[in-house]
Amino acid sequence: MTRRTTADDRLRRLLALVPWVAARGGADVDEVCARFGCTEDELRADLELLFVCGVHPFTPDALVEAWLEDGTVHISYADWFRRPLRLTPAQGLVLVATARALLSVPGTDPAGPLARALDKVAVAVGAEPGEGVDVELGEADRDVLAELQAASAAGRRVELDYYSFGSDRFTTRLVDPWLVFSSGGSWYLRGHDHHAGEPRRFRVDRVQAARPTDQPFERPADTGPTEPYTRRAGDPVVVLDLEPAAAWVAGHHPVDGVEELGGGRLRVHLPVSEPGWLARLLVRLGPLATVVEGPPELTGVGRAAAARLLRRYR
Amino acid sequence: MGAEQDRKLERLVDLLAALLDARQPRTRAELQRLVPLYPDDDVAARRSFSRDVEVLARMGVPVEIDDGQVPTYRVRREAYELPDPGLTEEEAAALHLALATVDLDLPEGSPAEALWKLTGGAAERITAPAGSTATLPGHEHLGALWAAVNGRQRVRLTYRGEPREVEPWQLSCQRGHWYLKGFDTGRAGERLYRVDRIEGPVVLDGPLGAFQRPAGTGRATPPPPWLLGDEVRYVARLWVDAGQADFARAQGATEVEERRPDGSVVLAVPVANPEAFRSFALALLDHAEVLGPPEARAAMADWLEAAAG
Repeated sequence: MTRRTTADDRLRRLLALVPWVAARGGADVDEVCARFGCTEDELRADLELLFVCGVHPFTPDALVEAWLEDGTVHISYADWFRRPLRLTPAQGLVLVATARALLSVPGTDPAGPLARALDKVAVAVGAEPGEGVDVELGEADRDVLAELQAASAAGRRVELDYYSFGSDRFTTRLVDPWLVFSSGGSWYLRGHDHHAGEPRRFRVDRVQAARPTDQPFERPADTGPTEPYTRRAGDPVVVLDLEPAAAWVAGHHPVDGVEELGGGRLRVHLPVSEPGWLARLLVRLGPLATVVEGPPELTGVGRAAAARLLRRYR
Repeated sequence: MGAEQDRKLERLVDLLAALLDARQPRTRAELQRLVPLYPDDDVAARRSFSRDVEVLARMGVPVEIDDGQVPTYRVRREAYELPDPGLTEEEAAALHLALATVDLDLPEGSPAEALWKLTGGAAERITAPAGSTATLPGHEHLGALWAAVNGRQRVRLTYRGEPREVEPWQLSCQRGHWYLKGFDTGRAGERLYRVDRIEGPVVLDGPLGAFQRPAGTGRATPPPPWLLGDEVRYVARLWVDAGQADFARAQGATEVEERRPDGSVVLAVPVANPEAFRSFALALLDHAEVLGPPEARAAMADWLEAAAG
């Protein structure tokens, strides 16, 4: 925690904590601290302050009573704060979108506790979640996704038939499925690839088939970043000049450096995981991108792919 | 923390209690008299007071301000208080687990604070289940748009350089982007806006419940990028080989015009945004070819020629 606690932060906590404790007629200090994410000292400071709060004329009957005794928090006469503050619109959306997202995942019980919680929360925030918001975590074959999630949860290796976008090839691989995650609207599998001998990331919609095995695996404590692309140490870098209409590349892909060239043009240093990936990007960018420099085996891949595809159209 | 922060916190709690306690709206002068700890100097007190009101409003306290000759302030209890959702322990745990699994980062959208309010937090730390997580993109406008969708309140926004008034029907998150679906009153038609391309502020305008949402917006159709435009320009015929056919269809090119014996397909793709369609076809590299119409083929050839240098 590097950020300093502000008066706003303390107010937010108090407005939620006061009704919770008051409704119970007292609560254990450790539990209050655990639930509301504070230390006992912080809690004590807030309670001492709350003790002098109230309304005009600040006679005893117009003040909150709050004190800490024998490991128990007591709060009473806090009628103004008998209920928590409503959720902000953003909090309402976070809850409803999150629940909707998970309910869209194959295998989630559509009448289970999460679905019931969503219905109740929707009433409390005055929303119609089935109408107002819809979330899709990614297109993927339901069976493949369910197979990968089950294997990951059970700690079993899987065999994948996989189309590699980067190398434009089909392969069969044995993988320890560490983590199945959705990011940027696609599902990914991250895990140890026994053929490559190192961790790899797979797009689930590129998995043609997933077959569970009965071989167990150990999930490492750090399963790696949940981002669509993660830089590997030896990845080569190409320098690209981007026209303004292609400036999105700098925000969309991890880049080592961005320079402004004026007029909205950018020069980016782009790490490249696979030549096929770069070829695909350059063909799509066409005249909007120029390769300035890079390793010889990479600088020509875009032009070569474009020339090859062009023969189909001429 | 410090004495300064303590004074500010005490003042905010007292101000909120005074606002909630009032039977009728109160003026700033009344509130400053009722709440201790405002500076004696009137200019400084005025400044502290308006900052405090801003702090409360940002947190979601529904401060009603009546901008009359002498502005008045009040907070209605029924608007302030969160109704008890009556969650069972099992349901509360499911919500905690969901928020630990899915990451959606919005301004004023703290899931931890939301759970404090709804369930009094969690007695034990809840972490995502082994092996599964998800991240949804955040955007500064989402909170306001959600409020408008829920309240059925019109919004004013700028999109593609043009000011628009929209009856917002639904927010959807598809393919990693948030979209607003609604009725564009100026253009008298249904439109889909990509939230991260909305320019400038989103202004909620006019009364709540200003329109009816049409029936059947329950499930948004995922909008493929090449359909994001004001009108369909042409229906492209796209050949895709057997290995990539399912993938291409999963991207939203769902209509199969022809299946060939080798397992390849010809897809009929309505195109409203030719640049997005070109990008989609090119991303399939050698596994796809635009067969028609002639204008789409010619555009591909021109583009590739430029790219081949």
